[in-house]
Amino acid sequence: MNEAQIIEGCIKKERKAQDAFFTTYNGLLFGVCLRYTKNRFEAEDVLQEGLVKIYKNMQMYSEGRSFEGWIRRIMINTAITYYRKMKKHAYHDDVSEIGVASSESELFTECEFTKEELLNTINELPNGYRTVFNLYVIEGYKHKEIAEQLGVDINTSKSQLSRAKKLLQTKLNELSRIKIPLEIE
Amino acid sequence: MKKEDNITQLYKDAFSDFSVSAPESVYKKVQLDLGRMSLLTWDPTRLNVFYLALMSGLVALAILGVYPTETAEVNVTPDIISNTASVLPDDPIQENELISTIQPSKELEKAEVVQPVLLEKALNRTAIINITSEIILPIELVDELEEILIAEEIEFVEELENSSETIKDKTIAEETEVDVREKISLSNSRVEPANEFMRLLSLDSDKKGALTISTKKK
Repeated sequence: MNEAQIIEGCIKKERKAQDAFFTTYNGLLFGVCLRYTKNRFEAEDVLQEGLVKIYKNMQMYSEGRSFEGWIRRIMINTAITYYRKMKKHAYHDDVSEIGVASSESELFTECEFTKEELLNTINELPNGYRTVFNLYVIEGYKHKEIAEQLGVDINTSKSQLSRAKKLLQTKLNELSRIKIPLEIE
Repeated sequence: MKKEDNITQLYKDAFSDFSVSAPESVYKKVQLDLGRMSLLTWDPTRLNVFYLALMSGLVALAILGVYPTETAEVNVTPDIISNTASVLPDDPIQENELISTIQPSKELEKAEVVQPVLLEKALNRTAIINITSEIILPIELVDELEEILIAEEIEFVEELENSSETIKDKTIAEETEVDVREKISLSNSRVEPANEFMRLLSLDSDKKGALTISTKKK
């Protein structure tokens, strides 16, 4: 089944087309979910919610646009909505409490990290930082778009990105300190 | 600035084609959600809650509409009739036939010819079998009726044999004596005292035990 057949079948609510869609795109979509969430369980919840949205609104996809980009965007929006809901009940991370990256170490540039290690560092970020970082760095959104998407000020987006990067730098430095002795041995 | 660029580049490269297989359980949950949504959404081409409501309404209507008729039919089923004490048909002619087979009438007892009576018996028996087949009696009851019929038949044949002997005796008596049946008839004449009657009645042993009635009076 090619992309067009999958889309057509999903619009007709055919089970075969839905199966084919899941088989083809589940990895990509779950990868997105894992980056925007704290852990695997939350990622599964977001994926489930996002898939239902995609199957339900498949007829809204307009030809000529990138299908992968469309479904990825739906999944990102689902993740953002998920955290907006959670925000009301979740513990609010105070920015001042987050440690600021030290400028003394640049070890992480000399070390190679696995995707899993990098993913763990992202997962450890506070929800707001993680979302802004993902949107700006990985998805390539502008601060204006992020601010509109998240309903925050542009400067908030900028500052959160800056702090996110600093935090990641610190985490990577710590990680490299552990890894380098092991590599020497 | 350089560090930040390095971080950006590092993560961009790592996650540009990041893909992790999702567990199948997620897809099962998705299918369940879709099924539930499909059931609750109006779609003329698919089975949904609206169709189910319509169907259940029609079934309920059909049950309510049909139920009283069904009960009326149940009241007249043959099984229930056969379970009741009375097995006699409503038709008086058939009823008489049935009674005549079970309790032979006095007319049959008086009959002098064997063959027609047996034929009548046979006819009566056929009639009751026909009746029983029509009203669908239980097998046990039919067997019981047949046994009664057979017993009655045997009894009747025995009686008939006795009566034929009596008829023979009567013929002999008629040859020798005057028929006084009219005189001793209880129905057509006055009732005489028993002693008087017994005196008139005497048994002649010389004529093979034939019953004779003396016409001589005092």
